[in-house]
Amino acid sequence: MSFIKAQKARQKPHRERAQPSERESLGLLEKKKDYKKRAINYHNKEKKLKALRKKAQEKNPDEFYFKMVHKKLNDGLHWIDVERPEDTMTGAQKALLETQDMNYINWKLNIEKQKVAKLQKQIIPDANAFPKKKHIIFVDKEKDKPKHLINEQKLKLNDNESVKRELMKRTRRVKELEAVSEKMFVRRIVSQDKTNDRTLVKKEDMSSGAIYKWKPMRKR
Amino acid sequence: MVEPHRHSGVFIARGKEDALVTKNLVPGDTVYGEKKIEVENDGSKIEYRAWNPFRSKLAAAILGGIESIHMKPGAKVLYLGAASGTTVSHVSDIVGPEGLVYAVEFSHRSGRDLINVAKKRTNIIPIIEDARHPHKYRMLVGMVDTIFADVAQPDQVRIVALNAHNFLKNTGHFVISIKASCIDSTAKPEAVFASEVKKMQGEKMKPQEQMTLEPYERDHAVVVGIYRPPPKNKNK
Ligand SMILES: C[S@@+](CC[C@H](N)C(=O)[O-])C[C@H]1O[C@@H](n2cnc3c(N)ncnc32)[C@H](O)[C@@H]1O
Repeated sequence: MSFIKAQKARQKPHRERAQPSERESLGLLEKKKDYKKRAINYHNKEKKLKALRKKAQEKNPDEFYFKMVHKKLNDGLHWIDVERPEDTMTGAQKALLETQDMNYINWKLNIEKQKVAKLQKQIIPDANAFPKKKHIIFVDKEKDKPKHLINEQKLKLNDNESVKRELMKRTRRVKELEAVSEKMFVRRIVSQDKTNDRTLVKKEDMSSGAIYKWKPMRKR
Repeated sequence: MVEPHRHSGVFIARGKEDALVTKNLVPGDTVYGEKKIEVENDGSKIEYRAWNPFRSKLAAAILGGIESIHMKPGAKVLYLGAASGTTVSHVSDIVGPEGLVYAVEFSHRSGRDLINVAKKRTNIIPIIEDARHPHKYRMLVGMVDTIFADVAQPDQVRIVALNAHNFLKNTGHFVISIKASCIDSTAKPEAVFASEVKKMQGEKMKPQEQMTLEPYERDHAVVVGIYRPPPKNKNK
């Protein structure tokens, strides 16, 4: 057995095919196992609906149900008193969980930002966006000037295509993470705000958190 | 397809895009996650390591078309400011098993990585000392053919001169990478480079060429020169 495992260690890791970039708007590429889950879920719902429909058809209007006594009418709505689930977490624990989530997001954001900065350094800008390279040769006499500098070996260097593509993807991810981080931050502050002295300036949207304005308060 | 570069010990790998490479001294080993290229040469395999000009000023200088780096197989090189040993590993590839690289680094943190690199590459001698005090490591270092300096310090020229007086043979060469903002962040880079060149002339170091490293680095220059040049022959 262990021999087989040792062989596996030398195998190339299996890499899944990703959604081609031109079909990216369709979301992640669906695999067989994803399809299986979706199909089973769909059929389960079908079965449930069928069962409900059957029950409704076969309902006996004269039959007694306990809900008939438990139910109350509350402002025109049917209402059943059920026991609320017990609170298993203290406020401090909840807050800790939230900050953990925030820390994780901020950590990922930082990593991603560093990667973006590194990639940006690798992109060769247009030749005219850069000051030109300057090469000075100090010689005593003009005829000492080396000859071969004129016919330098020509190299065909990286055209940056893959770097540019990666950079684009990562900047997009940075934006998403920044938005999440901002939203979490604002929500946390609002949930901790006991004064309630704030007005909404701008609602939360896809790319940024909500903006509130607090009444100026004098610090003692 | 790999062909030799004008500088001996350096090679060019031709492909969809060309890359600067050096022959791996320790086949199978990489130092900083660089790409490896294997070439079959009548039965025997030779392994090369890609040399990234964005991570190494020496590689940027070679791609920029510097006249000479004065490092070739069998040479002895004193490398000041070795950091984690990324460039040092390529210099060790260039000088090969017959050559030697004395790598001086001052920070203990980078020094740890450097020592790990040197464990596999026996032609690197790591020295964790301040390059301002060459007498502290004079027992370890013999006379060298070339000094390469990338310490990014305002008194860089003085540091190189101190080491040259101790270890550089007459008519040996120095290669200094200058980061303008490390020396004077307010002056124009051009002016900084010129003043550094002037300082060298006061130390028996005669500059031979100077080149900026665009597009790989901004406001960086490499200066190559000769130490204690032979007196000029008047009759010629
Ligand atoms: C710009 S980095 C060198 C990078 C390296 N040449 C490369 O390309 O991989 C400069 C290094 O010089 C080191 N350094 C600075 N002052 C020094 C000194 N006085 N003596 C020795 N090393 C020094 C720093 O710790 C730093 O790691």
